[in-house]
Amino acid sequence: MFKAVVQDAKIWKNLLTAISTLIEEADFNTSEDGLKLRSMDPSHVAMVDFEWSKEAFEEYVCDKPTNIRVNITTMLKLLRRSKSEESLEISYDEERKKVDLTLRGKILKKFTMPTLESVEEEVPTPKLSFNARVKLMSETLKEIVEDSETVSDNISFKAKEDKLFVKASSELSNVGMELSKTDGALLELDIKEDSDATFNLNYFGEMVKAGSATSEVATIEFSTNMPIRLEFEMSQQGKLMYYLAPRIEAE
Amino acid sequence: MKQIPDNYVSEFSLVKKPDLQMANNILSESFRRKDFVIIVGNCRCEYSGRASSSLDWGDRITLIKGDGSVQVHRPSGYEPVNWQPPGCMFSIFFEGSSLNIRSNRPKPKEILDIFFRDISFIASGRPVDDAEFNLHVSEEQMRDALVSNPGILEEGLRLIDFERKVEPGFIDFYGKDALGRIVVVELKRASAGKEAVLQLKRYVDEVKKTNRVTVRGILAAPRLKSGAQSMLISLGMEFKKLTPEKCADVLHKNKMTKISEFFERD
Repeated sequence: MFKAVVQDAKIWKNLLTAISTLIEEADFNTSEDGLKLRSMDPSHVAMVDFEWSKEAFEEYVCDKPTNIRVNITTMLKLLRRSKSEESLEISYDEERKKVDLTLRGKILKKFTMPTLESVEEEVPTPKLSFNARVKLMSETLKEIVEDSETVSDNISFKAKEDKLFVKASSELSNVGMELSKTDGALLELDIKEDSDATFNLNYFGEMVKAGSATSEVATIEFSTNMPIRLEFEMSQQGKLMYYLAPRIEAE
Repeated sequence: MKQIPDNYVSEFSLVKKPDLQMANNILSESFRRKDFVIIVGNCRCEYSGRASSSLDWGDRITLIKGDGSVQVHRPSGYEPVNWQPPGCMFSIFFEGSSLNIRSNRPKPKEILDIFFRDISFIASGRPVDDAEFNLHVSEEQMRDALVSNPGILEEGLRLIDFERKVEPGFIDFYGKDALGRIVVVELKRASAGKEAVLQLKRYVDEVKKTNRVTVRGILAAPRLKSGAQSMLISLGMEFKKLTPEKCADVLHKNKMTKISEFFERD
């Protein structure tokens, strides 16, 4: 049996929105310790890695590890009906193969949705070590992304000395930005080695915009021509991480 | 066809460092003969037509082909900085102290003026090239192009899954359109006929069984065989043109890597 209660349905809705930017269908792996979701987007360019420990839930019961595959968009559609100050209970009925979502507010609402056949596919962790680590407010990161989107489909990050340089360019225009701790734009900056990498802004922008709703602080980690890791810290015992493969310019 | 020996080189005449008056004479004659002309020299360009542009003096390579097309290349990059498609008329005259080659495209009206002030060399000739160009793009590569860039088929199209297993077989591309409707795409490398339409119909029907939403069936191919179009329409499905050339172009320009390339390998 699986049952989990989230005190504020809105938190769960934001998390699902963040996951749905990359994937339509995914397996939630439930275990005694909590809930995990790790999945690549269909074109294998990006990955979402989401974890919520049982302590983050108001109530959590899971007597055996189970994979519950659901259509995230369908679940979101139901959760959009939630109002503030409503709690959410998610439970899975193994026999009926259905997920029940119960919203408790003034009205008690119970939605039932089908599950999908689980795909037995373990997604491994990318083997990465990062040479640059930048911690900043989600709002700042969002601003960088939106500025870059005005001119390009790509965004380049360069970490050098005590600064983060952001660049976006198209054939006609370009934008360059400089961020540092001393100017107050960054919370933390660790550079082991100068690093420089470019990413697709359609993906990165969606991740940042959706992820920002879940946390005020974001951390990006990257190395030259390697994937970027974007993490949103949560006050609850949970984490939301994205990985995005780089664009590599031909020599 | 005349046998061309292996060591055959088309005859080109080459004139080094012509003065502009001599260049004028050579080029006038070449344009009349519809030669292939290469001009290396210092020039500036003015273009007007659907938009307008100007490019100041610089060393460039200008290619003018017998079909009436023109390209101006800068020292780097693979694309010309200025160009006109086949079908242009050329005229040449002096504009002050520089020699002006004007290419005039009648429809839409577009004019490219190239002004030369110094010419390193002019090569002109009638090269022979009858070989057929074979583009090797498989259906699988076409699918990869569509997966990496669904927008080539339709603006706003998103991928959910590819090679998706359903009862009758595998769906090439399974996604959602801008309005959130499910889209099932059947890809064909060459002309698609009635059997492809029926195959697509089986997939669409299968998807409709499990999704109570609008499901669009799209047959993507370079063209349709006769009869396929009316059959598609009567079954409520669509045709979208997708050519191997377009897909090759997408694959060629794609610089995105995959996250799975960075996974730990045991």
